[in-house]
Amino acid sequence: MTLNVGVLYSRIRKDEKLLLRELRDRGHETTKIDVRREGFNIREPPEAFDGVDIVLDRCLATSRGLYITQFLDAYGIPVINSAETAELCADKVKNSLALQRAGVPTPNTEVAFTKDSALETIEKFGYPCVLKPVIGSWGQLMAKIDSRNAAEAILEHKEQLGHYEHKVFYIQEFVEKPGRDLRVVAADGEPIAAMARSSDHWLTNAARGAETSTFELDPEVRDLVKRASDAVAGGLLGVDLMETGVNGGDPEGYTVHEVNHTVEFKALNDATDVDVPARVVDWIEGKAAETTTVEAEP
Amino acid sequence: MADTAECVECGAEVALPDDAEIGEIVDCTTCGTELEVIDTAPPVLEPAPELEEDWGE
Repeated sequence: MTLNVGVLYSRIRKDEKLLLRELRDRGHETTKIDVRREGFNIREPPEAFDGVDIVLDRCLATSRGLYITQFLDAYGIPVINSAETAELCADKVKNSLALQRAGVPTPNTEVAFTKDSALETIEKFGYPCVLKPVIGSWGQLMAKIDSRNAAEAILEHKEQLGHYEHKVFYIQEFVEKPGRDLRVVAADGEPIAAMARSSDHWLTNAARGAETSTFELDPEVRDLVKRASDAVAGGLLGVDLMETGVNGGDPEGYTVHEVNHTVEFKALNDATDVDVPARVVDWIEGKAAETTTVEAEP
Repeated sequence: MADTAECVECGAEVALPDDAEIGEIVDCTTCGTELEVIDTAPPVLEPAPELEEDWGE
């Protein structure tokens, strides 16, 4: 089945190039849609979506993807990932609540709305603890707070930043990890590939230069990835985990700190033997076939 | 031979990859400016947008 795959973008990263190449090599048509140039009407889709069978949300700007997936739902155009998944992943508060609700181990987290109540929460967690923006990625604006002095300064700065989201203080326990965390890219909970991201810095994002290496999945991680995926309504996801209780041996367990819904995979593709874009396109083809079958049913 | 386009910041010639895509970002090796590929035939470059808070995955 040949598809016309719409790709929402505002910047073509290596990830999008890999996907576009894989789709074209298989004979699929690709329709690149620069969301900066479109207007989304509540009644009908922009002309750019004419003839598109399925859409991939590859928006770099989370806010745009959140809205556009809602519009695509309204238009009845299938989109990866769904508006529901985007909603549950884009906002760290909603993400943490979804994981907790599903019984997936996740770092203890508390939200406060004023500097004073945030300080109380921080003191309750003790030092160090972590303060994160509710929306953001690549480790941007993350703070590991080591002392009350640092807490007071960071909270005061955040209060002055202007946007109301900076006054939603997302405070999390600091998890002692063995110098690395884990990234599993999964499609509807089925792992495609996994890597460890190592750094001397407490932040181990690949975007911040962490070293990457392949990671062999064990049954516990597989189970957690499936449950984390289900908790956010599935889709093509990047599930981030930390190993806990590591004292020179195997970890006692894992905790899932985040699920990403517009996952980047270029680092994973380089770190493993898995052809990640090929596996992703396999899955997209399957999703498109499901959608077509559902539509064809009376 | 790879296509080239003029850097809008410093005027240097910037080489584009053979598989350049509209929307891709290339760096000017002379002045370091990030440039967005606006067109590929012929190649046209514009300054890339600045990083925003909600960018990411």
